[in-house]
Amino acid sequence: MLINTVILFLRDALPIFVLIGLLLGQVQLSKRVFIGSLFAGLACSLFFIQQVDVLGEMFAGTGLEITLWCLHFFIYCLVVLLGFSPLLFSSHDISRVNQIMACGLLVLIIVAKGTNFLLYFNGYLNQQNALQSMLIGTLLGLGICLSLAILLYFFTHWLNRKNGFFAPWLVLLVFATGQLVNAINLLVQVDVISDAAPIWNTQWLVDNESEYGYLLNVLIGYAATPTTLQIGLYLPLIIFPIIARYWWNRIATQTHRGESQ
Amino acid sequence: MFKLSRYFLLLLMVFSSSLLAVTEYELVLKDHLFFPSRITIPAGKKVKLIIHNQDDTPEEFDSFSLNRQKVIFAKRKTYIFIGPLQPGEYDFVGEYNPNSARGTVVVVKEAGGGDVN
Repeated sequence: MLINTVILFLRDALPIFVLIGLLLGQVQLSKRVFIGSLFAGLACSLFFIQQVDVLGEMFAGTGLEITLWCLHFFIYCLVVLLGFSPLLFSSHDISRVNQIMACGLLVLIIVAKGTNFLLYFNGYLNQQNALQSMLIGTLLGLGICLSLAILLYFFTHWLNRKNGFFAPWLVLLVFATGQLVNAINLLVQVDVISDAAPIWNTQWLVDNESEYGYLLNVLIGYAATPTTLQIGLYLPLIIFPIIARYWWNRIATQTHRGESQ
Repeated sequence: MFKLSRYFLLLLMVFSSSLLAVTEYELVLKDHLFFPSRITIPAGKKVKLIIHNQDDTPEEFDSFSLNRQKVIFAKRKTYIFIGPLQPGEYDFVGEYNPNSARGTVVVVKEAGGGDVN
């Protein structure tokens, strides 16, 4: 039970902590807003769990997978929007807008990832001798996740100071894309979309179930056996926002120069 | 109008796979054990795996090699589609009880390999 709890914590809670580390390194969130977002996420997760049965029955039994994929899609959209915020909003509004988007991201990822963990706790907490193992496992998992979140916070903060807003946003974009592309499996497994067999197998290089496998899966969406659809979406989902941001920035600069002259 | 119906046909082709008949395989979870623990399916075909959870606790069907992960609530059943797969063995576990809830999907080349061991 102890090892299970640690593994589940690493798989389901690590993306939440990674996002927190990456966000706090580039968006200035007040303590009150940050804690408020965490509680809002937890409340939404509890509400989500109560609706899981209803959702699961919707769309011929595919409702839960569609909802979870949509949550990952909204996370990706908000991350893309976060990257465009310096170009879309005035310097007066940008801090407030970024804070709202960061809150939205925190709530969405807690619902998308935390639900599974809460289900596990809810189902097994009443079992004999489970509480102690689960608490120790949670503490161990929490320690690992917090360490990585702090490391990523300092890394993102350093990137932000050295290269500006773009570089840490790129790290966040790769993370969100990885999460979204991995979530495609949810739609494939209930046959909402069809996908072919894996196009390669790098299990020999980095095992999906190894420590590096878990970490790379969370950070960049690594999968040892990716499918054509996953590969076909991964690169465009990263490259298109970068190109769009570059052109938008270029047009905005030219317009600004034209107005100055 | 022709263009619109062409797009509709394309959409239907993408999303209609669920309408096509696929072979179904039943898997039962009882006392944190999968029955049967080995399922043989044909290579290169998509199949539907129906999982019944007869335990009082939820379980999560998890397989890295199959790229599948689904929570099965207590006393409920759920389904997932797997394949088309290359011949070989693909392990799966119950993520909440990985020491006991374990099994393997064996993918064989022979046609109609629907026998369950």
